[in-house]
Amino acid sequence: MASEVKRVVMERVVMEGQGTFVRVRRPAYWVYVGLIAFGLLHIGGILRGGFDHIASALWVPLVLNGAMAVLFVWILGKLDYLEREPAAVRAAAMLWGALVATSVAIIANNALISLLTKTYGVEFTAKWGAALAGPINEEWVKTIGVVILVLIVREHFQRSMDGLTYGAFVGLGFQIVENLLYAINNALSNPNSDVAGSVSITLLRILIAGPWSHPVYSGVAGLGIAFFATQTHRTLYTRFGVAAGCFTAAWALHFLWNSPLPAWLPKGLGFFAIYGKGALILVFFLIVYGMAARREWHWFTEIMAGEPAEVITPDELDAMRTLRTRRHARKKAAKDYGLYGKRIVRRLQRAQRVLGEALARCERAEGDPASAPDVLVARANVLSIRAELNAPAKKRINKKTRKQEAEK
Amino acid sequence: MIEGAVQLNRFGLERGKLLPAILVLLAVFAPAVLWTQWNNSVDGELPVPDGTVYRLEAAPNPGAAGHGGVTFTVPGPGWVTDRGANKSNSVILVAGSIVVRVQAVAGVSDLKLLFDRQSRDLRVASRVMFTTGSHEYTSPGGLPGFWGDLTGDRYGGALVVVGHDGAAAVLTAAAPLGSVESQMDDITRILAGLEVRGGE
Repeated sequence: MASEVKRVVMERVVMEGQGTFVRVRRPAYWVYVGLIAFGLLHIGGILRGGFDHIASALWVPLVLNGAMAVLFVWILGKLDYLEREPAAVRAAAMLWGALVATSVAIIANNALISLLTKTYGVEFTAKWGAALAGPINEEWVKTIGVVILVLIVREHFQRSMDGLTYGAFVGLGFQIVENLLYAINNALSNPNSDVAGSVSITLLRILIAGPWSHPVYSGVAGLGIAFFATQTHRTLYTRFGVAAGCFTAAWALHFLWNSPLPAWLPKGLGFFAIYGKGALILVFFLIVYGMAARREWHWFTEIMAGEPAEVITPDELDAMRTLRTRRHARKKAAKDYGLYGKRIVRRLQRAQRVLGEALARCERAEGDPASAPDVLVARANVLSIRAELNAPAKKRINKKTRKQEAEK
Repeated sequence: MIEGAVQLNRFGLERGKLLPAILVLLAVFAPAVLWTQWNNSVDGELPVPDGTVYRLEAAPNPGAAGHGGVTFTVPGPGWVTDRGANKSNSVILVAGSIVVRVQAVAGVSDLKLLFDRQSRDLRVASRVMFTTGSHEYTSPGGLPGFWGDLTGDRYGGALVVVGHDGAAAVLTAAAPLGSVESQMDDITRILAGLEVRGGE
């Protein structure tokens, strides 16, 4: 009797450690790399062409946009104040916005503008083209950037705030490159001077559109993506509804900003109307951000719930709630103990945040916080700073308290 | 650092992750492909009847204060326009082998400076053309400006900048080398009917 040949399926399993963002085994990572290369060639070609011919006119926009980028990176970093997102993933998000989203948006926008002109005429397109093409194409590609980050580094998405942060960074990258492209185009189209053209449009875009532009739109859309990815205990309808709602909101904010002012508006009120639009956009974003921040706060209180008072007191936990309450706690420390006390409390708050991040990582890995090395180190740091804060010899008591103590 | 066991497919990539990545790749290019294909499927060529009047308004430029516009009449039959490429400040007309672009510009401080800047832009454009033989020019309608002959590797033509009161019309005409001279009458007739409106 012939023996049966059993077909054995070998399962390939590997164990490997990788960095914060590099995931060579994930297909989405290679899609990301390929698209970055595409964007680099496309946008790089345009920017290089601009620099080749009008370099002297572009240094000022480059410096101004660079300064804006630094400022916004700092602000966006502050937004996510309870569990900081890794710099590598934030940089990856920014690169997507700068290279991929801009490249694809240029192609899509040009085609859609041409189509609108053919279909509805020059007058309609001149008025509504930017309001239609920009939001449709740009918000789509930017939001895909957050989606691809979820596919590559899902472990860095725990709550909606993560999506808001990464989405905002995608938007920031897009904004910087878009500003440079506008600087080039305006330099060339200015009838008198490259410098006048490039600098004027750069100042206009930074001062008028800066605070409520692409980082805001993409942040809102990114929040929806993160909600879908992380809130797995909710129904699919709810998750999809929130994601779709956030994307629609991002589209609507962008549409509002790009829409022309009504013809009946007196000319003198145009300036106020523009800033009014921007204020509406910013207020909406702050409301959405507030909701995400509250969820972050609840998470922080849960993760720190098991820690004793010498690690974090109830008052200190309350003070960690917002950036303002933290600042208030530091000011109080400065009042009681001088600048030294303020510095110590700042270090303590930072160490408590780091402990929270370590406890979260341990929880996700289903480890034991009593023995996880990074938790032990972070807790030891907190205790060490507290010991420094409580050391009587080092307390700098202010004049008023010294006088009160002397009178006792 | 992330460490963990991952199951691989035949390509050495994480199992079950290929399809989402492909879908994302398709999604990224979906708008570009959709609008490009749709735009290509819509015919943009539109015949322009003899005597059609075009009124162009200069696009605002933050670094150049002023507004203005250009009006001109299409001379004779046989002209078509590419609707998709037209803007509120520029129009492209084609007749036979000649392509004419007329653009309105405002906030002009010096016509010669504008002429030189336009020449530079043509020098670095995708279809490179060099300006040769430039000279002062007055249009048949009395508008002062400058005229330059354009020469490229396969195309030639003319660059004309005329205007007043801080506004200008920029006309570029291009035709295959050898047929430029025969099309000059068309350019002259367009310039004859050209009006420029300027103002602060």
